[in-house]
Amino acid sequence: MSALDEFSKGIIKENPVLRVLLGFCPTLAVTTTAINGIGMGVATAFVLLCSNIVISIISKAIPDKVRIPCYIVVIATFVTIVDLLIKAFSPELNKALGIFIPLIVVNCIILGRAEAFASKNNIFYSILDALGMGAGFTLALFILASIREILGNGTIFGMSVFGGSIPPVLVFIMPPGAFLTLGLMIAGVVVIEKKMEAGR
Amino acid sequence: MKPVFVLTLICVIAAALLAGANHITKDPIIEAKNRLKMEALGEIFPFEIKNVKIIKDGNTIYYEIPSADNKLRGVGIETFTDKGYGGRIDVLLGVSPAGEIYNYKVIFSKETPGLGSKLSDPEFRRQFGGKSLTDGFKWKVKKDGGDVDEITAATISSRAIVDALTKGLNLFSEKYLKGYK
Repeated sequence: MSALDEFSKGIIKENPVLRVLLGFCPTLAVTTTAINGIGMGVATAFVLLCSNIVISIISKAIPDKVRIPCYIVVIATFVTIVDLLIKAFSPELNKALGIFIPLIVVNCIILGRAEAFASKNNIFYSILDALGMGAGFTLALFILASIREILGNGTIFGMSVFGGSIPPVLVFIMPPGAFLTLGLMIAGVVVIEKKMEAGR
Repeated sequence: MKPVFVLTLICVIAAALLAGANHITKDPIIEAKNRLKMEALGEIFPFEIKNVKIIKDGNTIYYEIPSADNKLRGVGIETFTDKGYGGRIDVLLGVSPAGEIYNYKVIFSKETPGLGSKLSDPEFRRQFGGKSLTDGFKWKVKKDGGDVDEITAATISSRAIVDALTKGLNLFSEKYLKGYK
């Protein structure tokens, strides 16, 4: 695979949320507003990048038996550092995402990429993989959160969309709306991919 | 022995990194928290705040705001409720020396965005301005026969904020108004 493919596969073909179906817990929980979705996506992408870099470097020195605990220590360390940094330098973002940041530790996308990719590839490809997967995750969260915010609250980035002429559909901002929207998005991606394959 | 050695080494390095991060961020985190508190206090009082006296009494924190001639001009009270739709709601309540509400600010809540989060809307908060425990205002939502205009589709959140506010007012009158009754 070329370098470009390693990056772009995470965005559509192997999108961690929409195609591989990983990391649903933060995906469903935080996507009530577009800004929350982006914040969670970027924070996760940052942790993913750091952990992929470190794990691709140290993986050869780690004995197979203890590799999972080692990966988790690395990931948890980066998550805690991100958590502290956000608390210190962006209290506003902390207010919106505070309770979800520690949950990045258990986001299976990160451990999944460590186990499936970074431990088997060199640092250059691992960086590209992390950037692609991070971008794909952020994009999926952003689209999902935008749809929910527009339909459920009538706003995007806090600004009114319809000028109050159309009442918002509250269910989209509630948990059921997250499942509905995510399901339709996954179906949409499958349809698009089938069309693209047929056209080839 | 190699697995034990490697895992230990990684944990030691991780601990060192975390200690470093904690050292760098400790002061900014405290500063950020204080700044948010001061901003919140500035929002709930209709006058400018030059001086704050922080008093800790039991589990509650009171912020006494003195006027220029050192008389009590207002008190901020950290109150809360556990009855929110998403559990706990922390509220900073601003009260006049006579026990009337100036305003409040939701400091922490997990209420549903777009519904329970409307507790922070100025239109909703306005109805509590000037209200106290003793002026005949019925501290219940209209659905329960009270005077509080609840938020549509967020009755639980509305009841919760009433609980938090009355709790705060009771704390205030116990501490500041007892002698006057």
